Amino acid sequence: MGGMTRKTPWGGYLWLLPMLVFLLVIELWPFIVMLDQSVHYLSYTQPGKNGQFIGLDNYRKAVHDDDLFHGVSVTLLYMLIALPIEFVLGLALAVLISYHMALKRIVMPLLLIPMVLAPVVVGLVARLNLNPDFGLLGIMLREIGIAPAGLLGTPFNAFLTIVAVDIWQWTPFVTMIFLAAIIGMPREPFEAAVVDGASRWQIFRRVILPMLHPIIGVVLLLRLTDAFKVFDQVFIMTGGGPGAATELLTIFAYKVNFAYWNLGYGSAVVALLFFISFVMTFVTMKLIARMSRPRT
Amino acid sequence: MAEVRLENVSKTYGDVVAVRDVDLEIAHNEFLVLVGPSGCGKSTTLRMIAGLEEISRGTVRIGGRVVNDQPPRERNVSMVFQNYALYPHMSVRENLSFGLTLAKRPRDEIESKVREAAEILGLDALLDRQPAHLSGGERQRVAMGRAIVRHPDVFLFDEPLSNLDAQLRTQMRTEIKRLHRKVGTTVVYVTHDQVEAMTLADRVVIMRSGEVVQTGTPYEIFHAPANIFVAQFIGSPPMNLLNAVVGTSADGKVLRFSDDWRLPVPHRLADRVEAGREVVVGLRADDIVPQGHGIPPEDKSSFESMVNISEPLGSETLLFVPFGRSEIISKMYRPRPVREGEALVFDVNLAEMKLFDKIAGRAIQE
Repeated sequence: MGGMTRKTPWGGYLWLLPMLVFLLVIELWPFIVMLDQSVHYLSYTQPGKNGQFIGLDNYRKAVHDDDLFHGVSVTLLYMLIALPIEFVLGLALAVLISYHMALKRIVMPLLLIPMVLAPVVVGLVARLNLNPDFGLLGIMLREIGIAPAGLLGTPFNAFLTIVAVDIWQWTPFVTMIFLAAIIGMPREPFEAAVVDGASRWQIFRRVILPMLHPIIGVVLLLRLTDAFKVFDQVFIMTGGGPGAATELLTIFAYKVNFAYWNLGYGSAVVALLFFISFVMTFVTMKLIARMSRPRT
Repeated sequence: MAEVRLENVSKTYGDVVAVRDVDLEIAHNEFLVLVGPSGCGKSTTLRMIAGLEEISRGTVRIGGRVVNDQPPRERNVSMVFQNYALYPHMSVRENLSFGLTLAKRPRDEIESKVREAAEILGLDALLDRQPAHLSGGERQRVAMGRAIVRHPDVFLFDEPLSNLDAQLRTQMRTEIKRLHRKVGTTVVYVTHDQVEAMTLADRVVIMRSGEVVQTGTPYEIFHAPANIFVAQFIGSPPMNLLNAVVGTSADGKVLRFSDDWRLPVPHRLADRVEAGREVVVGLRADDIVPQGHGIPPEDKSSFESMVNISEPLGSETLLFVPFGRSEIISKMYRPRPVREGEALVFDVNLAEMKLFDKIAGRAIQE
């Protein structure tokens, strides 16, 4: 192998070609088409104007669109509530399991269930269960007087429910990663801390948590990007409603594109979505890099 | 005053007995070394003293108090681990002060104790470094510093030098000994390295399969090993062990080896073995002296043999020599070059010859 690549320096790239073609066709090309659409007029409401170059008009419209801002704030609120709870709960579970490794064999498969389910399935199961007329959970809640119209029936309840479902689905993921990190840690610093006189809480606070720093950053990054683009389960459960109570930015973008068929404007919205997500990821990665750099 | 007492201490994991009925008394300020091959239970014993391992049976006392049910932090012990166990996210200073901060000691006290420990161990210049930026030897010194800042009643060392290279190990060995002289605390030190055990210990405890085989000063265990295991384990090169049968001749009792090679039974042991008994004869390499090299033993018997292999070590040379159908190792002091195949006459120092019972393995006492 080594000899061959030395003779033909381009030979190595040949092996990458399938992947490059795949990325170009599946990822980059649609992205370019989308950017192109976002600076043109393209809508099924006024087909006559289609294809007209309108510069940044769509973006100008987007930054003044109250519905889009509503989408952004719903998404941010969703993340602000779900992620901290997932982190605290996930970390607590991971630490608990690490103290009682015998539990691991029982708990691990249970933890895997939410993770292996497709979000669509999660959405369908949740909607079915919460239905006040024939869903198991829904009927029970109705009978004891909570949410007679179903948990998805009122804006406030519906929002809390989609957050709760996210927590249910993703806390195990956080747990698994933290647990793997804790198990992978050398045992001696903990024993040293025990002999040094640390209580369990002090060991957690002053040894485990600092040693988890780099992992926390990675999990944060994964969860941020994932939560920001969550779509399927929420769309299935509420379709963004009632009203627009659960209309995440992604659902808003979907509606503009495929409910109102305003594809030019929709492309601009998605480009903004991409931009926000890009900035968010970039900032988080910088933070991670700073956190995991050893202090000197 | 912190003497440590272990009374019939055992550790079992299910059906597996890791440590069986260990009885030890460790005096105040004594340096005790637990030594044995891996899996002999020495580390488990140490960890039971530390409180990292539950005690299945028996009692552990530190300074008179029974500590069986006390968590490690109430035992006032410090431990140094094989792979240093430093907190990777803390600077050397924070590593040293961690235990004191947990105990909520006043800041001046912490600072002065850290400075004192850093001075003893020569860590002054490293206080603001992270463990990742330290060499192995420096890390181990930090680990020791972390142990001494707390002024514990007992120091526990769990193979602290095993991860260091040979040269550094020798150097740190001396530092540990010096540290003990300076700080003067009871030390329990675990190692599998018999040289470390011999050089450091006031008293050595040799363990095997969870049991104590022999306890004694380095001098005692070297010169009067209780059984074949100790004889082989302590000393380098290991003691020569040869099967023999006791016989009689005109001059008294003799040991008959393979191919009818013979050596006399030392006078002091002559009454202890009867003719026909099967024994194992133990002879250290130092007690098989090539004539003209080193001091000829007073009570001796000689034989002639050809050198199979010679290993020059500088100040001495190890000679591998056929003896009957076996091969024994002789140590040649003030060596000269030896050709392989060269015939030499060797004096066996009968005063240091050991006899062991072949079946039980126990030393036959005078």
